[in-house]
Amino acid sequence: MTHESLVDLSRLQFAVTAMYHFLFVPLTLGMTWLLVVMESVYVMTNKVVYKDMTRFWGKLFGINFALGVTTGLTLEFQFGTNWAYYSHYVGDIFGTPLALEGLMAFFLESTFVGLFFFGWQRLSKTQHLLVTLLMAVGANLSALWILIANGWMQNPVGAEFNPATMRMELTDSWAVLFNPDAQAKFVHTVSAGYVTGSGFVLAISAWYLLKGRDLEFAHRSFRIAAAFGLASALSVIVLGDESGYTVGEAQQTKMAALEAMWEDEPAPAGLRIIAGINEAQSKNDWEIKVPWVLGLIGTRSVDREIPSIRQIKQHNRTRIVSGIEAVKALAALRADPSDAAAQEAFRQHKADLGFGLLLRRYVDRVQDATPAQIEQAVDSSIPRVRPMFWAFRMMVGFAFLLLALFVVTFWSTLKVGRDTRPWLLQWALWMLPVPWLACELGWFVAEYGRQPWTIYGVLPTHLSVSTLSTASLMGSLAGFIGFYTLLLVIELYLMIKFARLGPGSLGTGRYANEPAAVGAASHA
Amino acid sequence: MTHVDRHLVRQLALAIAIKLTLLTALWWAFVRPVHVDVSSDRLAEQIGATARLHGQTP
Repeated sequence: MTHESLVDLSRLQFAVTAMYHFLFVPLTLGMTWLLVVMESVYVMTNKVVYKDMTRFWGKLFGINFALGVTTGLTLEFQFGTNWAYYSHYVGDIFGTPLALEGLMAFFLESTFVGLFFFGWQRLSKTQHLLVTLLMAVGANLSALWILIANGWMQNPVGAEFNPATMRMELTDSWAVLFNPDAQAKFVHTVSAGYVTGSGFVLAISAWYLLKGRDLEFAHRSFRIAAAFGLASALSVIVLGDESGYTVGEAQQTKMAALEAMWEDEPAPAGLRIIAGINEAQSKNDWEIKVPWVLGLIGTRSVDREIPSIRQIKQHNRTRIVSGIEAVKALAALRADPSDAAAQEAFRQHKADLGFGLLLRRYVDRVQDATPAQIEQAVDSSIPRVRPMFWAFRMMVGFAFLLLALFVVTFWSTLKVGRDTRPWLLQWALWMLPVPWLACELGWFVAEYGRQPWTIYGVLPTHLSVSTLSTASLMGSLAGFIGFYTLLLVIELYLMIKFARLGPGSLGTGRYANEPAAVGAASHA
Repeated sequence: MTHVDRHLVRQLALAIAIKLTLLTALWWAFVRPVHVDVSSDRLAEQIGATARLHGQTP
């Protein structure tokens, strides 16, 4: 059996590095499309302020891109070192979208990032706009491939286990590409990135307006961010609903856990707004519930039930017992691949193999599992409810807070003078970290809610980790934390420095805080 | 390009150089020495699906 501390440390290391990495990603996703919007207006109107906006916000995007690029590499390191069994088991499928992300999307994005910065004087206006557009497409394609890989972890379609190679093998590449989980997560995640980009531009523009500097530049930036942010915040909520629906279809465990739905309820189930969760007794001590809402959102019907945790545990118990037979048959097949009885037994029970493997956490020989160990495995098949319940509610709360901000700021931009009200500008400024908090909570809900699996229903987390020493893991964890913290400090230093300098850093002669305007004429 | 931009380019180049150096150092210290056997037999052992476990004496 794998030592629990090894599993916990490997999980912690992946979570820490992924969450650090995801500080950079959503801003890149959002800023690229905002730059497309700003530059499109410049090409259409020929107003130079929009070119300045594209160049200045592009500069902040460039700082984020330069510091964020390759920060995902440590995650790839970990697939090899900390998750070697996972990589063997599912690498043939999981590795393909990751390779495509690097070869197709990242190279496309990086090439056009270079052209974006160095092409202003070498390309025509339309050509440069095309470059900016392709840069945005590249960034979003990158997210698509990553989320196809992640979507497969949540809902492993189009693949089958081969007992001879001990690997999952691809049977239907289209099913993997068009996995509903991947598609729903992609649109939801990139929309969250657009909200992050909009919140960033809105907050910094609000700060210029509060300071009464670079007013035309700040007003126009504020308006674009408010409009783009409103569309994105609406999208993120609507697409989040779609993502929730696909979770309800493919990952009933996650749905039941994040709704703290311990017992069966007649359809349509009510939505708990808040609850006093008592995990020890598998119940809520108290709850405030809105009737019908969960059933309507989760099933889009009035007569379909949402499985409760109790119901899911019963179902999982049956699958674990069937999974024991699958493990037995697999062992026999490993000894004699031509054993016809084992082949038949494996065919009958292979869908539950993963559930049988849940027992390996508690017993060396799955076949020897006692009823008490089966019950332990059943209990472990549900993620912890309290963190899921509250993380989800905080994410949704932040999303609605952002929607409110963008509704009010967009409304304020419809009439001259409204968007300079200090309370509104202060609100926009203080909301700056909120999109990142929502994004990180979203990742937490998606990944923590998948536990105890790395590949949902197929491969338990505790069997995916490599047999490393905890000392080695603690050393690399400390190294990764140091590495990312340094990058974050540099990012914050440069972002704050250039946000303070503002468009004056372009040296055009049109803004406050102008440096020595070397080559200013050529940029005008 | 203003002197501010030139300064930024230098700072970003330095940051990327530091980043690549640190990534290499992390790889050198923690990734390069780690070798985990991931053959199908080893995986069968990891998940407890070996012939030894199928009714034979360990």
